[in-house]
Amino acid sequence: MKKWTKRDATSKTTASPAAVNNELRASQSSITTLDRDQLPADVVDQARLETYALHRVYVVDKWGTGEQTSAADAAVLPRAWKAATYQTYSGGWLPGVSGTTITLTGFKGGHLFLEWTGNAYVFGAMADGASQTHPGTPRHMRLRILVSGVVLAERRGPAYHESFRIFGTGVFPSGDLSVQLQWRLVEPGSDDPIETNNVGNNNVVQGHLYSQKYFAIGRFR
Amino acid sequence: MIQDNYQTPLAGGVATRLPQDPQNANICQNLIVDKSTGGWSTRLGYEQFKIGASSWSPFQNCGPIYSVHVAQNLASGARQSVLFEEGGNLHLLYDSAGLVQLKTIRSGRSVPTATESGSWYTDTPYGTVITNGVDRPILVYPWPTPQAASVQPENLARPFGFDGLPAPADPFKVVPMPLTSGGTYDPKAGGGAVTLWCPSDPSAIPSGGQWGLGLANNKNGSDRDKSSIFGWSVSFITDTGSEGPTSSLSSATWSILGETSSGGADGSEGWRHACLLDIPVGPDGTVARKLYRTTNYSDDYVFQGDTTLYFLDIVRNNIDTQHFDAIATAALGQPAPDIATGPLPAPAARFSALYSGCLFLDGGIQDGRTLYYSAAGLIEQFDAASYIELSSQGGMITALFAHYTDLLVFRENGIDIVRGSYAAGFTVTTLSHSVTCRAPHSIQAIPGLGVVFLGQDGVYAITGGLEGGAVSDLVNLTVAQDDLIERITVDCHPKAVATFAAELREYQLYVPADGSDRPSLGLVFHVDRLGQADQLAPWSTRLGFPVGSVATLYDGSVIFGHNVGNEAGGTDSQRGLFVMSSKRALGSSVVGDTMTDGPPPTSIYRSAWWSGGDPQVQKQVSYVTVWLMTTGGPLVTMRHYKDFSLTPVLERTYTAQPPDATALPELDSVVLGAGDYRTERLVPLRFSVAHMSAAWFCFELETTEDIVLVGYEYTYTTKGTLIVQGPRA
Amino acid sequence: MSRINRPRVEDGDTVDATDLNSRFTDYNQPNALNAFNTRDAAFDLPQFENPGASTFGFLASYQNNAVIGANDWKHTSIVTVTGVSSAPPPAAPFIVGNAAGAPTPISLGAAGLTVAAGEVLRVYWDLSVYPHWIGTRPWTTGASVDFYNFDKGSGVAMPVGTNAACWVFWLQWDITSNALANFVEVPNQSDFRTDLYGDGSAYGGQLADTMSSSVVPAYIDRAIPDDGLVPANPIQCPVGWRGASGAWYYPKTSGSQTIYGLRVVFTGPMSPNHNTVSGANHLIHSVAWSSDSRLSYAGGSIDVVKQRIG
Repeated sequence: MKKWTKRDATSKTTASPAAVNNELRASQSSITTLDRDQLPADVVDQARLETYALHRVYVVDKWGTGEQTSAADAAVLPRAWKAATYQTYSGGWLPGVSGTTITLTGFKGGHLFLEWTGNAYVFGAMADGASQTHPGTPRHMRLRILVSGVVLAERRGPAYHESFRIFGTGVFPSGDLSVQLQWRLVEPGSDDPIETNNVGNNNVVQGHLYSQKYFAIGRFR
Repeated sequence: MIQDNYQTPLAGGVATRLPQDPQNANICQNLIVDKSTGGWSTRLGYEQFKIGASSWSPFQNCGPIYSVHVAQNLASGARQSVLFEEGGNLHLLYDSAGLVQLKTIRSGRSVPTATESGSWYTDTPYGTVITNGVDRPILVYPWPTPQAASVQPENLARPFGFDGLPAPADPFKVVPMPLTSGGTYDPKAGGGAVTLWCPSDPSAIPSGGQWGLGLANNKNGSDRDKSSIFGWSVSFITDTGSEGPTSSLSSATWSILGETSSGGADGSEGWRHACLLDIPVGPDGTVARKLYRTTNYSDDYVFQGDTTLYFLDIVRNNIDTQHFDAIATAALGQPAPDIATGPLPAPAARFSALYSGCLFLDGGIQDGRTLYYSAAGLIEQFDAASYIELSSQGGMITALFAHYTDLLVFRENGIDIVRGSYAAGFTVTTLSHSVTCRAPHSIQAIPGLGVVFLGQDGVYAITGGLEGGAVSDLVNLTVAQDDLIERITVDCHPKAVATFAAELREYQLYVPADGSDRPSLGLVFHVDRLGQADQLAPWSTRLGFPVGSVATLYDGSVIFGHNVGNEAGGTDSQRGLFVMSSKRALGSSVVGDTMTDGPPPTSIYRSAWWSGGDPQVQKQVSYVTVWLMTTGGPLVTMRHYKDFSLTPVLERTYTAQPPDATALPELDSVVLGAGDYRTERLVPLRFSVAHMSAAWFCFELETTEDIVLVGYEYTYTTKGTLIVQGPRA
Repeated sequence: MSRINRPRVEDGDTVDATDLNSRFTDYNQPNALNAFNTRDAAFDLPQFENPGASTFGFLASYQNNAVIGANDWKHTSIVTVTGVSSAPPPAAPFIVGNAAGAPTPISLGAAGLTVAAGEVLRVYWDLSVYPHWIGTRPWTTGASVDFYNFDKGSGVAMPVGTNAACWVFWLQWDITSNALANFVEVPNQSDFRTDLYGDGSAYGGQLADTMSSSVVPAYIDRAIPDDGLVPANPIQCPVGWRGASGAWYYPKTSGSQTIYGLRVVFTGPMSPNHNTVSGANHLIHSVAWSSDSRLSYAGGSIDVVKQRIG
C-alpha cells in the first residue's frame, strides 16, 4: 500500500541504521502489497491473467449426439422418430442425454448462469379426452435444470414441435458443480390411443428432444 | 564546592499551571515521542497526498477543506474512499491506477459558518451517510468507479431516506363482462379501461376459478347490480432493504348486472375480473415495489368498508410501470407490515450514529432535542413513534457517538447516554450535567482511556463503563494546561477537529485559537506518556500545521485538508489534502514555477520553571546537561531563562555527537566503504551556564533539525540567600 | 520480483557502496513485479484492459446486433413462402430478408470477426413467424407421412396429424469475404438436401446435424379421443403468429476462424423419419402436401457476442 515518508534522510545526521532501515522497510512493504492505488491502468490483460481467474465458460456446442436416448422405442412407424413412447417412457425426470454426466469443474464460488437449448417435440393431439373434464390433459414437456441438487430453473416447456431455451442463475460456493438437465412428459390420458391402427400396431411417439447444447458462465468472486 | 543535581530522566510535556512540575515543559512544540527511546523527537512534518507532485493538481481549485472522511469499503484496507468537502462541493478522491483525481459527487452544498462544524459522516454497510444540518442527508457508496470521466459521479450518491409517500397506484377502469345471454361481448380497451375476465368455474380453463377479483354471480339479483370495490397501495424498497411509507389508497369499482326482469334469473354470472394498475417508479436507490390490496369492501360483500391492506405482490424491479392483479382474495398474503414506516423524520439532521443496529439521527437545528432512530438493520425505515425526546435541561444535541455498549449524546449543557435495543426499547440517562461538548469532530475513542473530547473548559475523557461492576468517570485531562484551553476562540469550538493517530499513539486535536476562525493550534495527547510516568504531562503543541479537517487512513497515517486553500489567492499557495509523515518539511509550495518543499517545522522544548524546591532561595545553576540521542551534525544551541524573564541567554552550540568519543559517521560526509552505520546513542551534552543568582530557572532548545531529547539535569549550588521581601509601594 | 529478502542494516555494519547498491537493485530486478507483489482485492476496474475499441469490456470483447426480416410490427408487409415440393430440394433454402426480397444478414465488419483460441461466439436470433396452409387438413392426404391412423370404431381408420411437421430455421455463415456472397452452413448443421437412402425417397438431414436449428410447428391437429378410439373427426387449429428463436455457440479451443457475416435461412415443411436399419433419426422434406403449406414472417433480430472462455 501507498506509503508516505517514514524517515527523511537530512543533511549531516548520523549515518545510523535507522536512517536506511526505516524508509526501506516502508518501501519494501509498499512494493510487496501493491494495491489499486499503485497499480497502473490497463495492466491486466489476457497474458497476465491466469486462465479462469475471473470467470469460466463451460460450453458444449453438441451434447452427445444432441438427441435424448433415455426412452428410444424402435417399434414405431418409419414416419416417426425412434423416441419416447408410452411403452418406453418410464415417467418422471429423465436426462436430456443419458450416459453423460455434466460437471462444471473448477468453479471457484460466485455467480452461475446456465442455459440449455434445443428442439423438442410433444404429441399433443389427444389433449381433449372425452371423459376428461376440463382442462383435460394438455400435453407439454417440463424442463428443469438442477445444479448440485438445487433447482436453478424449472418451467413448462414446449407443447408442440418447437425450439426451447431454458436458463437460470444462482449463487454457488466453490467446488465442482454437478449439473442435471432434465425433461419429463405429461403422461397420456385414460382416453388416449397409444398405438396406431396400422398393421403391426406401431407405438405412438409421445415426445423427443434433439439439437441439445448447453452454455454456462461462472463469474467468480 | 558541593554541587547539587536535579535530574529529569524523561522530559515531560507542556503544563501551564503554576507552580509547574519541574519535569514538565513550558513549551513543548512540534515534537513526537520517539518510538525507540521514548524521548521527544523533532522528526515530523507533512507532505502532499500525491507523492512527488509537481503541481497542485487535482486540488488546484480547492478552497478551505472543512470536512474529510476515510471510509473503508472492504476489509483490510483494500478499498478506501476519501471523501472531503470544500466550497460547497463533496468530492471523492479517486486514487486508482496511479491517478489522483477528484470526482465531484455533489455541489452547491451548504458551507459551514465559523460557528458550525463540518459535515458528519457515519459508515453503514450500505455506504456512508453524510449530514450537515442544512442539506438533505445523502448516502454515498463510491464504488464501482471506473476511471473514465464519462461516468457520472452524481450516481455515486443518492438522497437518504424516503421523501414522503409514493404516488398512488392508479388502477384502470374495469368494464365487466356482459350478461350471459342477450349481452354483447365488447371488451373495452384504451381510454383507461380494460376487461380482463377470469372464469369462476373451475372447469372453464386450466386452473379455473382460482383467479380474479370481485363478485362473480348476480344471476338472481333482483334488487340491483352488485358492486365490487378494491383499493391498492404501493411502497418502495431501497437498496438498504428498508421499506418506505405506503401510498394513499386508490380504488377501482365495478358492478355486475342483475336480472333484466324480476325472476328472470338472467343476471351476470361466471366471470371475475383482473385489474390493471399503473404503478409509480421509485427514486434513486429503489430496487423493488411492494403492492398491498384490500378485500372487496363494497356494501354488497361481507367486509363492508374494511380497507385493511394485505400484501399482494413484490415487483422486483424499478422499471415496470404496469402490473396485472388477478389474485383472488383468498390468496392474499399477510396484512401490511407491523413495522410501520414513514418519510425521513429528520431531513435536516446534523448528526448520525449507528448503534444497536439502528441509525440514530438528531432532529437538526430546529429540532435539537429529539433523537430519531430507525428499525434495527433497516437504516432508512423510520417509524413515526420511534423517537426519543430528551429532557429540556441539557440543551440541543451537539454530537452523537456510539461507543462500547452505549450511545453518547453530547448536548450543549450535558452528556446523555442512550442504552437498550430496538426490540426492548431505548432508555436515556444523564451522564453529566456539568460538562459540555460543542466540538463534535473532537470526539475520538482512545485505547486505554475511553472517549476523549474537547469540552468547553478542557479536554475530557469518559472512562470505564456502565455494565457489570464497571465505574464510569469523567476526567479532565487538561487541568494543568488550562492556559492553552483558554486560547481557543470560544465561539468557534465547533471547528475543532481531532483524530487518533495509531501509528504515533497520539490524540491530535486542532483548535481555532487566538481569535482565528479555523484551527490554528494543535494540542497533542501522547498516549505513550500515560504509562511511562504518572507525574509527567502527556501534552504537546503543534504549530504551523494548517489543518482544516483531519481523518486517518487505514495504515494509521493522518490525512488532513488544508484550512485555507485557494482562499489565499493566486495559484502557488498550499491547497488540498496532505499527509502527516516524517518528512522534514511543512508541505510544499510553488516557488517560481517549481514545487519546492517548505521549511521544516520549528521544534521548541522549553523546560518548566524549576525552583530547586524553594523559589525564595537564590540558586546558581552551573551546568545544564541535556541527554540527547546522537543524531549527528544537527546543531544543539541551548539558551536559558531566569525568573520569568523574556530575554534568554544563549550558550555555546554543540553538535549532537558523543562528547568523549569519536564522532559517529554522518550522512553527507561518511565515506562509502570506510565508515560504519552506527545507531544513535544516548549522551549527555553539558552546557556551562553563566548567570547571576536565580530563583526560577529553565532552559530551551529551539531547532529545525533532527534532535531527540530524552531528559536533562541541572547542576547547581546555593548559598541559601533569600530573595528580597517585596516591592515597595 | 515477489520478495525482497534482505536483512536490515545492523549497528556497526560498514557503510558499504555494494550493500547500498544491492538494496536499491532489489527494487530493480528483471521481471520485477509479479503476482506475489499484489495484495488481495488489488484490482479494480481501471486495471482491466479493454481490447481494441474501448466500448467493449474485458470479458465480452465484441457485441453486435442487427434487424432481420421484414421489420414491420403491424404485419402489413410480411414475406410469405410456399413449402418446398421439389425433390431434390432447391440448392438454396429460403433466406430471411425484407419485404422487397433482399436478404438481411448481419455483417461482422469489413475485416470480419476473428474467433481465436480461448474464445466463444454466441449467436441468438428471433423472428416473428406465421405457419399456415390452404385447404382443410392437407397433411392427411394419402401420400403424406404426417399422420397416424387411429381406430374410429369398428376398425375404421381415422387419420390424426402427428403434429410433428415443422418449418426449420438455421444459421449460415460467410467465412470468405465481407462481400457476403458465399454463405454456407455453420459447423454441425445440415442443409437438409442429403439423399438419405440413396434412392431419392427422402431428402433431409440427420437430427445429429441440427445444432443451429430451431423448428416451429407447421400445423396443429386436435382430436377428441374416447376410451382408446377417435370417433369424431379431428379439428385443425391455427398455429398463429408466434416467435421463433434460436441459439448457437461456436467455441474455439485451438486455431482461429474469421467470420464476415451470418444469416438465418429456413426450409419446410419437414417431417420426422427414422432409419429402421441404423436407427438414426432424420428430418425429411414432407413433399406430399407441401404445396398447400405456407410460412409468413415479419421482423426479428440477431445478436452476436464474442467472449473469453477463461
